[in-house]
Amino acid sequence: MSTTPSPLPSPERAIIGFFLYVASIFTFIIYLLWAYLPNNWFENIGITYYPHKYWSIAIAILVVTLLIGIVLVNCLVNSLSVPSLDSMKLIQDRHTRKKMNVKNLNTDAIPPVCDLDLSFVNQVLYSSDIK
Amino acid sequence: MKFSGGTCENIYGELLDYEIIQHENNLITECRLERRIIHLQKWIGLTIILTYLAALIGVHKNDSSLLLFLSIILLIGVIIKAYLKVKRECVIVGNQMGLQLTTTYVIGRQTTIFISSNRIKDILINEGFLSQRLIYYLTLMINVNGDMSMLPLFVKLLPRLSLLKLFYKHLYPVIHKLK
Repeated sequence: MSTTPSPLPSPERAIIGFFLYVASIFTFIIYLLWAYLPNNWFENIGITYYPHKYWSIAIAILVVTLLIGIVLVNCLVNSLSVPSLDSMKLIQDRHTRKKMNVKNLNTDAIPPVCDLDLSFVNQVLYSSDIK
Repeated sequence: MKFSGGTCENIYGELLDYEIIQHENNLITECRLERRIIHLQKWIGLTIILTYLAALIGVHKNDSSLLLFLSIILLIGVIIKAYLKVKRECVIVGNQMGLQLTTTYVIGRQTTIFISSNRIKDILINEGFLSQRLIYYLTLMINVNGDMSMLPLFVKLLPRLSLLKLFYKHLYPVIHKLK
């Protein structure tokens, strides 16, 4: 496998992070100025083409709703994508490694790695006698 | 006829009574789990508080059709809750016969599932997800025409692991003596 993705910092990530940080502060200051200053001041300066002030409230409500909604939808998607109690995915899924047929038992080689049988694990853990 | 019983806890903290009974010279084992209904205080308290709040708002002073509508909705809710609430779950395993799971509800209704012994493969304690918790539950592996399926037992009452270990120790030899 080639380079696996890792969360370590790198120079590209540092530049992107700094740019997003400065841009978000800048956007927030512009938003506050546009939302709070009266329209006359804009026209005196010369800016006449800007969005209607209604959108300042709409954007604020959208951000709050998205915050609450994303948290809720994340929890709901988690609950939906979980297998139910009677599905066989809880015992075997696409990552389990089943025991291959025994080829040669006589050698001293290390046997191949496989997943333990669940009933064997249950007997060892939960019953008093081990078969 | 050997008999052992006691009381244990639910995963939510409610108390459950359990009994393990061996009939007919240890040929038939029965594991019974029953819920002790002690929530009456909580329901009476909630009813008093909610009727006080409704009287404060003035629901009874408006036209009586609204009050009738709300009372009917409340009654339907109570009936649905009593219809679905499980009082006792009972697993009976007979040597070379099979396993029967009986669920008794609060209003007296009983549902039964029977698996004959030629289809039973194994009994296990498995871990699974239930409403964002990881729980232990007892499950039966069934062989249906070659593919396996699982039948979870005691999932309405959900006892804790200590009781599941006890049930497993009693049910595993009975199920595997069939082979």
